[in-house]
Amino acid sequence: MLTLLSPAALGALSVLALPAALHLWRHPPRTVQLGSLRFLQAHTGRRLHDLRWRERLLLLARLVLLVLLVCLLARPRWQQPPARGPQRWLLLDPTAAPTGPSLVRLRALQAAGYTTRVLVPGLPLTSEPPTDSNAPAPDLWSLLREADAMLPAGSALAIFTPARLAALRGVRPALRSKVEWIETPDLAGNTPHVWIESVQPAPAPTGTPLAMIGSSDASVLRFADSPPAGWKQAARADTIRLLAPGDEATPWVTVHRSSPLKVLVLHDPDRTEDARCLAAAIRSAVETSRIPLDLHLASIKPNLVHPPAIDWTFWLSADPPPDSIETGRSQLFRDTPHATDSTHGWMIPQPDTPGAAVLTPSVQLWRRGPAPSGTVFWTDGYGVPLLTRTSTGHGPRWQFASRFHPDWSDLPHTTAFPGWIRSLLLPDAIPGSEHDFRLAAASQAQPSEAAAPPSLSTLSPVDVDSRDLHWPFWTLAALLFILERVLSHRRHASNPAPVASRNQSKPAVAQ
Amino acid sequence: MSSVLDPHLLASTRGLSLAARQLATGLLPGLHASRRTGLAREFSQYRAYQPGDDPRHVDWKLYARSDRYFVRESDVETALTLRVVLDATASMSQTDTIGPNTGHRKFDSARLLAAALAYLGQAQGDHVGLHAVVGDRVVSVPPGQQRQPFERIIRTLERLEPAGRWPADPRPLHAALLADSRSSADAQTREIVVVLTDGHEHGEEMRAALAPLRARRYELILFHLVGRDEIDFPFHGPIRFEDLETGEVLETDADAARPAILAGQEAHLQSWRNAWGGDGRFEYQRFRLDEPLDPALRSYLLHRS
Repeated sequence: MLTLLSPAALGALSVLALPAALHLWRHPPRTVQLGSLRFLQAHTGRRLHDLRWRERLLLLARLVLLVLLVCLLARPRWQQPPARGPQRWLLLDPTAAPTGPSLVRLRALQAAGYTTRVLVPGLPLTSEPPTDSNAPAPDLWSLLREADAMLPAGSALAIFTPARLAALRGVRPALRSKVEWIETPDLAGNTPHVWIESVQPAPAPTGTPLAMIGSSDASVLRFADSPPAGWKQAARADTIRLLAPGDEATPWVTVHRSSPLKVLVLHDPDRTEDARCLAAAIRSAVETSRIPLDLHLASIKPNLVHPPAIDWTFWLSADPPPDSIETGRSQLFRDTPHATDSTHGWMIPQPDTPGAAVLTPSVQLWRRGPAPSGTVFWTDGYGVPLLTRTSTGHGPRWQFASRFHPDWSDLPHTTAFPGWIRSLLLPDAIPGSEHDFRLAAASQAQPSEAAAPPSLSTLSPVDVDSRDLHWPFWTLAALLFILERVLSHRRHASNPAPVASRNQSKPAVAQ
Repeated sequence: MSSVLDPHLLASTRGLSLAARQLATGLLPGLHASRRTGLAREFSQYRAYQPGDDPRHVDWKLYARSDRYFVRESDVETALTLRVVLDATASMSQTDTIGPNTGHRKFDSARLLAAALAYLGQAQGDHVGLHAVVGDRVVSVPPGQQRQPFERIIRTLERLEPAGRWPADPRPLHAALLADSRSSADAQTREIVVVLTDGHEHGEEMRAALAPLRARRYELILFHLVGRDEIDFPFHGPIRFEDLETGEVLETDADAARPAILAGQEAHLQSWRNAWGGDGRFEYQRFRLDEPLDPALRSYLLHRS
C-alpha cells in the first residue's frame, strides 16, 4: 500500500494547473500573406476560437511527471498492509514454567493457531517454553501494553506467567485485546532463594563478618542477620558463604572493609532545628544499610577548617561556604536562608530522579526561596524549580529552594524524608528486584479489559514491510522526462518554421 | 532551351535589364526566320542562300544569270505594337513558401517577364509599350517611336512597387490603351496585348476591364501567374491568413481549409479559361512561377509570327 510520509507536500499538486493552462492557451498562429482570401472565405470549416486541449499525450506526460515529482516531495513508501482482523498471540513470561494444565493449555492454544512470543523487549517469536531459571522478571505491564498497541482491536492475548510481584511494576494497563491469563509455576521453583544481601566487617578484630541475608520464595521476601531454616552460614575472618540444605555451597563472599560514609552538617547557630531534623534523617537512612556513618554536626564559626575526605557537606547557612568547601571534592548541599514566597505548594519530584518514588504522594510546601538553576529534580507544583543540581569541576552542587524545617515544609515530619535522604546518599543501596520471587495473586495481576487510549492505536504494528519508493519514483520521473522531451521535439519538428525564418534561409536555385 | 534564372538577379531591380536580356537572347537566334520576308512589296537586298531558307524565296532568275542561289529579301513594314499590361496590385507581392521561387514575389517574376518581352519586342523592331496597373493609377510607357523603349520600360519597371487593388473603374486603363493607339497607329497596325496578372480580382473587374479589348483589333495573351503556394497550399495547422490587398485577416485551420481552397481556385481558373479560351485572337495561359519563364516568351513569339 502506498503511503506518504509528508502528505502535506501534495499541496504542491497545484502546479499541475501550469501545464494545463499552457496546453489550453493557443499559440498565436503564424501569419501567411495571400493574394486573396476569396477562397478561404468560402470555407466555413472549423475556426480556431474553440477551447480545447492541444497535444494531449504531451500534456499527459507532463502532468504525470509533475505528479511524480510532487509525490517525491511527499516521501512515498510502500507498506505491506498489516494483517487484517484480530490476531491471536500467546505471550510467554521468561520466568514461566508451564506444566500440567497450563502446559496442556499452551499446546492447545498453539495448535489453535496462536503465535507464540516471549515477554521480553521486542516480543520475539519462539516455539518452546523458556528454560533459563535465572531470567529476570519482565516488566510485564509495559510489555503487555506494547503488545496490545501492535495488535488490531479485538485480538486475543494468552499470557502465561507466574506473575512475580517484581514483574508488576507501575500502573496496571487497560488493554483492548481479549486477555486469557494462565498461571504457571515459576521457573525458579518453590525452593527459597537465599543470598547475601550485604556484609560488613566484624565489629571486633577476632570476630566473624556480619551478613545481611536475604531470602525469597513465592510468598516471602525476608532480610535477616541469620540464614533461613536449613541453611547454614560459614564465615572466616574476611569471607562468608552460605550452605544450602543439600550441602550445596555458594561461593565465598569476600568482605571488604568499606570506609564509612562521612557526612558533615554545618549550620548557622540559630538553625539548630534544621540541622537536628536533617541529622536524624541521615542517621535513620544509613542505619539500615549497615554502612558505617561518620556524621558531624557543627555550627558555623569563623576560621572553620573543613576536614578532608568528606563525602557530603550540608551547608545550612545564609553565608556562602568558604573556598575550602566550595572547591572541595565532596557533594555540597545548600538550602535557602530566606523565604521569598509563602504560597502553598507541593514538592513534586521529576520522574526518574533519585527518591522520586519515595516522595509519592507529594509533600506539602509552605515557604520557598528563589528558583535555583541547574538540572531540575523537584518543582513546586507550579513548574518552578525547587531542587536542582549543577555539576562543577569539583563535585555536584545541590541547591534546595527551601529548608529542612517543620515551618517551611512537611518534609521533616514525613516518613519519606529518610527514604529520600537514603536515595540521595546511597543511590546504589536500594535492593534490586532480581531477588524478589514473591508471586502476586491472580486477581491482583490480571490486566483489565477496556478501551485503550486513542494514542495507542497510532503505533505501527510489528513486522510491517516498509520500503522507500525514492528510487522507483526518480527512475520513472527520468523516463517520463525523456518521453516528454521526445514528444515535444517531435511536435516542433512537425510544425514548419515560420515564414520569416524561411525568408532568411538560402534560396534554392532553379535550373 | 532553358533559361537559368538566378533568383538573386531576379530579386535585384538593378539586375532587371541584364536578366531580361539574358532571358530573351536565348530566343533570338531562332528569330531570323520569322522575320517577314518573302512577298516583297519593297525590295531590300539579295543575300546568299543558306540551308534552311525557303526554296520558294530563291530568285530563280538570278540563279539563271549567275548560277548561284540568292534569296530575295525585302523589308516588310511590321507595324506591330506590343503592349504589356502588368498587374501591379498588392496581391502580386505574394511570395512562395516552397519551391524554387521561395521568398520571391510574384511581382518580381512578372516584372522580369515584362522586361524580357520589351527587350524581345525592341529586338524585333516592334513598338513596345507598358501599362502597369498600380492601384487606381495606370503607369504607362506609350508605344511611341522612341529610340530606346526598352530602357524607358526598364526604368519604369524599376520604380514600380505593387500596391492597391485592381480598379473597379476600367476607364483609366482603356484610356491608356486607346489614347496613343489612336494617335500613333493607322488602322492596319497589329496590336498584341500581353497581360501579366495573378488573376486575383474581387468581383470580375479585371475581366470587365479587358473584355472591351476583344471587340477591337487587339490580339490578347493573358498570362495567369500562379505560385507554388496556390497550387499546393502547403500550410498546416492554425494559420493566420492575411489578404494582401484588403488587409483582411482570417484565422483557420489550414488542413481543414485546404480542400475547399483548392477546389475554389480550380473553379476560378476554370472560369478564366472558359471566359478567355477558344478564340484565336485571345489566348489564356496559366503560368507556373516555379517553372522557367521562356515558354511565356516563346508563346509571344509564336503569336507574333
